[in-house]
Amino acid sequence: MAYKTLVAASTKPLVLSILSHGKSYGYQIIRNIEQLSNGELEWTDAMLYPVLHRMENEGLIESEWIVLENGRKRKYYSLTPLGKKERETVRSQWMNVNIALNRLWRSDLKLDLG
Amino acid sequence: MEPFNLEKAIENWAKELWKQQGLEPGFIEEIKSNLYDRIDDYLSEGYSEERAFLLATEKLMISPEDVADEYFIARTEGTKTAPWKSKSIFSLLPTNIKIGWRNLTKRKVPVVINISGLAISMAVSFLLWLYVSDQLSYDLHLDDAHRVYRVNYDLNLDGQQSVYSNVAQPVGPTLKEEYPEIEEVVRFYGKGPNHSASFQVGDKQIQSTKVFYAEEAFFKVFKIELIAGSADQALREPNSVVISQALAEKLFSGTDVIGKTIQMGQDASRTLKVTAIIKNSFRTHLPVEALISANIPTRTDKHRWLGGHVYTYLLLNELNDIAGLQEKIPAFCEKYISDYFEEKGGSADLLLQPLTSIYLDEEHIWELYPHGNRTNVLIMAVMMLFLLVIAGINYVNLATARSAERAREVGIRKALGSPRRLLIGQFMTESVLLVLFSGVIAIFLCIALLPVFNDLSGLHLSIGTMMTPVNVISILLLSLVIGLLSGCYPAFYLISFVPVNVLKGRFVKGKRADRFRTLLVISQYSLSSILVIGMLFVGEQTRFIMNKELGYNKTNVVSLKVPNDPATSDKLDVFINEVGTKSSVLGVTSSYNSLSVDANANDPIFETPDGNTVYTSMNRIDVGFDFIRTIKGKLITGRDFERTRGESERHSILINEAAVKQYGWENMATNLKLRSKEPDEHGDYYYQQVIGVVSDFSIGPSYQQVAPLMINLNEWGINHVYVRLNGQETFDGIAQIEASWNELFPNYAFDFTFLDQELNNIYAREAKFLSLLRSVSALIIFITSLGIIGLISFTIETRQKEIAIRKINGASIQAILVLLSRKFGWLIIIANCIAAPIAFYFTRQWLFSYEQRIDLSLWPLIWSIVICLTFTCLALIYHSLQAAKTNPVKSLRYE
Repeated sequence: MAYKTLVAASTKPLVLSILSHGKSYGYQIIRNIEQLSNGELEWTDAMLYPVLHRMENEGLIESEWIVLENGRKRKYYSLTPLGKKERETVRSQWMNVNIALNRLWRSDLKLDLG
Repeated sequence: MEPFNLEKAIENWAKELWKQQGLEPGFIEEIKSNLYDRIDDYLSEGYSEERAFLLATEKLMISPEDVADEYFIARTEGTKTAPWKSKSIFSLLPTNIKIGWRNLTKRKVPVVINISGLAISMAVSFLLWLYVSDQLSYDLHLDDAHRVYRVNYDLNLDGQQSVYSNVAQPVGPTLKEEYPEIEEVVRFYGKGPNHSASFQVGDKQIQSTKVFYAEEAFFKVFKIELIAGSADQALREPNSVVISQALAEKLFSGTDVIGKTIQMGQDASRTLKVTAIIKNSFRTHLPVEALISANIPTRTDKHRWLGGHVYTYLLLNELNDIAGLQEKIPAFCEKYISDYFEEKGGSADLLLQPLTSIYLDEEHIWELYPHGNRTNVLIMAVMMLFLLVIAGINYVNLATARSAERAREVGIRKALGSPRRLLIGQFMTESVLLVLFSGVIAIFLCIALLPVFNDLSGLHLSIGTMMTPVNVISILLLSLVIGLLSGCYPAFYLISFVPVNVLKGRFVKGKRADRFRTLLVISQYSLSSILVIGMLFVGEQTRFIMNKELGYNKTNVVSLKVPNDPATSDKLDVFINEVGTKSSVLGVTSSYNSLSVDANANDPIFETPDGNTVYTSMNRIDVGFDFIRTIKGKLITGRDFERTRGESERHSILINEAAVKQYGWENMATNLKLRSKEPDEHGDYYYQQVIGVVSDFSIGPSYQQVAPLMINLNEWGINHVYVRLNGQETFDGIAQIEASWNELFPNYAFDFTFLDQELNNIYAREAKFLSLLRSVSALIIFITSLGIIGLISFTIETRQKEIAIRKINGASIQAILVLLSRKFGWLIIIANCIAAPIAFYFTRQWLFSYEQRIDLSLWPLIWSIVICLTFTCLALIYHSLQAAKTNPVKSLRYE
């Protein structure tokens, strides 16, 4: 089970990245996360929706209500241009972390510890 | 068992979310949408609806409260705790203020009524408080004022009890020798407001009546602030004078005048050196413009304990044990004074009067200046409280009357889980907001009313002195307190509604609330009635005193003040004789005393025909020939002073009926003789013969019964000339008098008044108080009527349906008016039945402080009922007409 702080920190880049593939809605985002993490990341609505609304306040994503064929309404989210930029920023930040961690975890690494 | 209904289950589940604060409808929709998606997934996996619902809800969230908190945090960026979870009411204050403002602007008419009533009440209450605190603050500004006491003489001579505000000369020094707790004593004397002293510097001549001759210790007892000079030395040397800032400005156009000289007297014969300048004195029973150093001797002769009185003040030491000192006074009197008075068949006591209460205490004999009136101050203080109470009652009544409008709001909020404390906070915030707003308006109203208030109260406040930061904050704090107190009952009343009843529309006007409201209305009417009744009695008593039969005819009498100049005294006879010959003049006389001021108190000794000596206490006036004839007094027995008898008339005196009655001289009045106190060097007494008895007439204010009076013939000590004119020829008469005056006294301006005007001016204080009382009473009635109007408006609204049905069935406007007025009519009668005994009791207590007074009658009570009925009926007529105009269909269709 992934640690809480890591899960919290990763929420924003995950949402931005999922939405970069196209508009989606809350439950679908949760399901995508579950599938992508092989069930390791199980988000609740209490986790996701506040983040979505915060990101919407920050102007990174925008929302719209769409009426479905069965008459129910569903709220879809999509990236704004600012969100796209932010996605690139967080992507490069996480890549840097990923590169550093991958190098550390290589068995043949010799580290200068001073 | 009922089959599972998915939609119903989802709706019930969603209700938990609706209860949470911080979740907006859009969020809840979204979460519901999410739930549907999860359920669809579980259904597609083959789960039953019920199972799918259970699994989906478990997955979705554990606690609706946590979800709401998360949403709030996400929305507000950084706020750690939702405000509805905060223990502090201040965190919800901005929201409550916003909602409160919205509610207040929804129904403007009742809010305007409330604000008007509150603002006017607070403004006038504040002004009255200024008046009351001004009156209570006399002499408090002096350092150690609480340790200073005036010594009064309580004398009983021949059955007549009199309290004098001054005492015999030896009293002060003897007290100081006897009692070490007396740190200092000062004695001084003055000539009183009827006598002016003249001060001259170069060409400038100023008259002042506030002149005293004082011992060196004056400033040790009266710690008046000095602008220049030394308090210890100011009155040490002979012919030193301490003057006020105002007098210095008038004489020298500045205050840097220490060491300069002033000439005193009409002939500028006395030279005084200025040794100190004192700050102008306000709010003191003893306003001083000039203090002249005096070495007051201490008499040692046998009669030293009576006569030649001086004002005597003591400063006690730090212990200030006045009770202990007062206990020792009887022993002091026994040791020094009692024997002398017992010889005269009387007694004497000393009363120690605190400096700080002199101004509002009753006036004793020989008081230098008019006092305030403690009862009047108390009346104003009570009216101030009445105003605030009535305004508070208005607010409570109107707020609870409108409870039906707020009932649904309260029901919904309670159903949604709003805690009681939040609801109370909401309503209290609205109450405080409304009253604070009223407080701000009250501040502006005070400023607008200031000129009128100054005129009515006799104060001279400016905006700056009135609106000090302390006063402004006090008004706002008072508003806060009133808002909190007045808001309590409506707040607790409103939150007591049961949500299910309210939401089902079964809100019934609470019987208990209705009874409480009725009680408040009765209280309002009662307070107003007490004031109306009291005010009418006070007005009647004041008019009675002002118009009371004086015992002489005061109309068409010109009063002239004679110049205080020895050079003019020779010509006064000529003036009087010349004026007496004018065609418009019916009579002319002179007097030492002014008819509009008190006579001099005296303690003459009489001898009866059978040789008995009678020690009396009576007033005395000194007059010229034709006095009784000119003022149109009546001679009961004997004769008046006659010029034709020449010099021997100097040995004649007159007495009045009151003296005859007091001492039982009915059969011997004109055989009485007035004897001198001391024999001459040959051992002979000087006698004057009582030649006649005149009917009683008043001198000065006629509050009290006419006292025994002796009238002495004195053509030389003249201060006033009285001329009775033919009422048809007043202007001609004045012109004739003026011509004679200008011819004989060219250096003195001809300045006259009419005697009746002079007499009316002495009641100026009463007249002003009456105006103030009337104004405040009218205001209280107005505020009460505002409240009643609001209530009537509400009553008609709640009975709209009933009125509509009655109209449809043919009821006339009059019938509707009678229907609505029945209740209020009863309330007015009940209120006046409560108010009458209270008002009559206190009025009786007040009236009994006057020897001359009106009788209590029922007319003020009748007028009070009429006034209450009038404003209630006017309001009812107006609202009834409005109700009558309304189409009944609209009222019924709305219901």
